[in-house]
Amino acid sequence: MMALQRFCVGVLLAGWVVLARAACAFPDAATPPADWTQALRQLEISRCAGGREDPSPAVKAVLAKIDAAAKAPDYAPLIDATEFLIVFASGHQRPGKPEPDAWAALRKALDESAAGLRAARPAQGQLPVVWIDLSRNPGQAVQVAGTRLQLVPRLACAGGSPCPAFWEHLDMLRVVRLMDGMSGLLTGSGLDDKLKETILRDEQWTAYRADGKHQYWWELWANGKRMKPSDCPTAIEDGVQRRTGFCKVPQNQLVILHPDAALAWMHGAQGKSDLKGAFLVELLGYYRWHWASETSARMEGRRGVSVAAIYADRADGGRWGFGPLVHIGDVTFGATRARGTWSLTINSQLAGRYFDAKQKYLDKLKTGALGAAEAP
Amino acid sequence: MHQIFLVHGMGEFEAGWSANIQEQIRRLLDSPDYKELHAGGWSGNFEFKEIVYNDVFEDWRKQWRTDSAAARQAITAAGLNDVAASRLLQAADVTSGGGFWRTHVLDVVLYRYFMPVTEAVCTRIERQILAHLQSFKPAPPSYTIIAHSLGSAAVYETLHAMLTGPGGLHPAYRPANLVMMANVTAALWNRGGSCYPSSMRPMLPDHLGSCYHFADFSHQLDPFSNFRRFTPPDTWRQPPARPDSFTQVELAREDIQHVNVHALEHYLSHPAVHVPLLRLLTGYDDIISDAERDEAVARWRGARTPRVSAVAGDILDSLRARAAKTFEEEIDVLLDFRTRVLQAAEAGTDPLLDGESGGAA
Repeated sequence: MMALQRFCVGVLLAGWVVLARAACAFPDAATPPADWTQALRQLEISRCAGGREDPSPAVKAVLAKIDAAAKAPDYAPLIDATEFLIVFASGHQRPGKPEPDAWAALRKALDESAAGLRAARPAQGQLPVVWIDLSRNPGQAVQVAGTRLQLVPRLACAGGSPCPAFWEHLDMLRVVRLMDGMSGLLTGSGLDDKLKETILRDEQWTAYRADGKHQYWWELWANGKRMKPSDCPTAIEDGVQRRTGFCKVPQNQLVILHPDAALAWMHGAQGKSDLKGAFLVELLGYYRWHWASETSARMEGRRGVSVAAIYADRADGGRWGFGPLVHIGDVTFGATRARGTWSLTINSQLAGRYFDAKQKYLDKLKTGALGAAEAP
Repeated sequence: MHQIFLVHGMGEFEAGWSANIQEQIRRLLDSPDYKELHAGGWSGNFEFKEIVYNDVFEDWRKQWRTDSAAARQAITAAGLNDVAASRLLQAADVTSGGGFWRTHVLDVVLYRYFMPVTEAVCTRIERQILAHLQSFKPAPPSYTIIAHSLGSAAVYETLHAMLTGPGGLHPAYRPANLVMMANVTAALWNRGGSCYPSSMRPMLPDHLGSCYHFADFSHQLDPFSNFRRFTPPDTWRQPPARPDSFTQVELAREDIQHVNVHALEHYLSHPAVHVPLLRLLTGYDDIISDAERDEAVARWRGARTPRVSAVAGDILDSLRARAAKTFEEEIDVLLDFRTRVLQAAEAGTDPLLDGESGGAA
């Protein structure tokens, strides 16, 4: 049994090693690949070169420093890592080595990066954008310190033969990817902040639709038109006024010709029920709220008023009544008047609560569960 | 790995909508038609992230459906027989339910004219992009956005907002490639001025603009993208001009394999579209030779069915002849296009393609 377990684990491990190697196929000098260009491009697109699976001791050393930088209060580990890469690049600039111009350009960019990090105050550091340019455009010539550098060119090497240019470009790729990683570390907190802000705005838009007073399409169109310049900032771009960034989510809305179901409690109404179903149209109204805090998508202080027309079937026939409505949170109530008779109008949610409570009371009466103290 | 964001067009799209598109792109990356690409096993180096924003439209439609149904019940309960009230509820119902107008064309109208919807859609797209990028912390990945139809306008405006908002968007988080299929940005741009602001130029190598490469693909007979074409002036990419940063391909009138030339699948199938796309995705222009591309185009044209091409050509020519100038005219053309696509499918002339043209609409 144990032997079988060991065999299975062995097969799994072997499979994992094969897969890991297949994912990051670093050639070795003893077994040159059939296509050097393809091999370099694969190491580039897979992000193996300069990544965690790169067997290069230099890469491992720099990654350890970058990892330390994530927890450090200043840029010391990043400066250390950049200086390490400067020494690494200098090693490639020895006489007789290939690609001297490319390495000289990279060395200059590394010097500039180290100087920038040394001069920067914590949380303000930026690395030159050239690292991002090179990393994103390995197949194209990018201007680096006055030199056009193609990080991953088509290599003029025959398959199966040695290819010194491959190793030079692989090391250049490593330097670029490590510097790109450092750049990401420096800009990462900015991304976190942006994402938080976006999530909040997304949730506020959801609340605007679902938790505010519901809007029909014509109300939505009109309220969109009402969004103020202060909510949707603009600026001159290329000589014309354009919106910049995203709009803030509004905290008020107009209510326009809004049809709804309601219940009307009429003076002198007869029959089993105290309330009657009614058809309500809010002719014009205003509704506002505020967010619970600057970082909240929870609406608070929802209030509104409107002028409404309500149609209900009365004992003496159906008729329209008119009057004011007040909205407080989810609850709407108001008084409407038709032919000299006042009615109390409530929205379906409030009516639901009323009927639910009433039904429970009646159920208890039926079952005799209601004690004297509970009688209304 | 290089990340590919897929952004849908108008229509009823839900999570998982891009499975076929992902499969199609993977097949192209492994295609034996392109020797070097095929030999390298490139498809394993890409990950897909689909973007869904149709839920923003759907949530509004659902709410309107529920609210208008409640109001209609109230009319019945109150015994009201009033023309004005009925018309009001009819107006409310225009936006709910099914039908091509309600689930497709209306999306475009809502996006273009209803600011809260526009902003909610762009915010939803921004959220999905940033959340995915953040998952790669600390090293942001290189990525491409492939957007189709309404998605092209929505992504373009989203990126403009991201770039011009407070703090902007660091170059590390901008896309390497912005690829538009059946681009409708020029028709729907609603942020002021022309739709060619300098901030959206493909000029990232000069630390300007939105991306490194911008690609725009259209078809001469596509009734969507032909209404107000995306035609940036030469000055858009000045200074300095980088010829390789902008690719624009218009497929010829004769290049029809299906009536629905607007479908994303139809675009991707054409080598004049997918070869530039594959070059952008891999980052290497020489990974597919021009000779290989030309042979693939010849094969694609050879695979056309004469009957379908003739039927489709007639239909699409007749729509083009109407040369819509206003949104109202264009909507009529699109509704007619939809009818013709369905008729061709019912007659067995042509299959239904993506969710934008098929489904339950």
